[in-house]
Amino acid sequence: MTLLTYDEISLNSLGISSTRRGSSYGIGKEAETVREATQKAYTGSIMSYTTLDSLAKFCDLAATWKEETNLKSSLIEISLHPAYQEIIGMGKIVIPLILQELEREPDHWFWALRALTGIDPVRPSERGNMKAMTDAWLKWGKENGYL
Amino acid sequence: MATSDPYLEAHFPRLKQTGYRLTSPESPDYNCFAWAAGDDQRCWDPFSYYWPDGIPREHSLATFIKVYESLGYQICDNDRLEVGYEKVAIYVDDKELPTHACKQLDSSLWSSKLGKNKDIEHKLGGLVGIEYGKVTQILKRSIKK
Repeated sequence: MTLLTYDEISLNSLGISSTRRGSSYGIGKEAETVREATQKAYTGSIMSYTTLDSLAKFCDLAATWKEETNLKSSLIEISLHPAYQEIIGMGKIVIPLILQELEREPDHWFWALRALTGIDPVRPSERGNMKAMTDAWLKWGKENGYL
Repeated sequence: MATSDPYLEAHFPRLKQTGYRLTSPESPDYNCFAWAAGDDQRCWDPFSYYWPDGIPREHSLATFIKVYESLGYQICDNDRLEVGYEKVAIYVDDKELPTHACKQLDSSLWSSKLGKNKDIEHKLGGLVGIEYGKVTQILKRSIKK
């Protein structure tokens, strides 16, 4: 298996588009922010082409999802977004990526994490409290070696 | 705080015409359904998030009406400001599924939390369109003294 450092292949070369709708309304900031944060997190890491490809795909899908559900409140609409469903479809390889993104910026990732792991570390009394739900998942991620 | 938001105006084309005011920074901590119910600490949703006890966990207009009825609201046939009452409005998409809720202010304007984005004050018609659909139900309750 060929291993590369993250620095050797930038997400740009993997075809990531940093903006989907242009930046005239500030929407493209989401994509840019996700990409920059991921670049920072993975700079110097050694990973395979497969991992790099998954990372690039995750960044692109996550940015699209964030941009296109920014004004939504219905979890059904947010979670059934095609990009979100595609992230779930990538399988367990995205669990650490989702947890890192959740750590960077709390968002509606809990549905995906439940679907991918089959568990829910959030206590019923914490449901709806984004900080408490985020903390519960990050704790679970650390305890289970994903972070 | 800025007085206008081109991003919001792009997604809600009627906002600029009907007028609006930004009233908070962006926050993922609560959503519109919570905000309309007076809660800015949690997200309310039948799936995974806070949901009042005894209300079915399904995404339908009927269950969202039940949620606000559980808080003392009753179905109402108009969106006018009524002395002694506070009102909430529910928006639905073309499948009659709830997309948004907001609450009326003393000024007769309405206050909305726009997803993870900002809170705004606006007229009901300002958010009608592709993003949230149409207003389909108004509810009101007596203001507690």
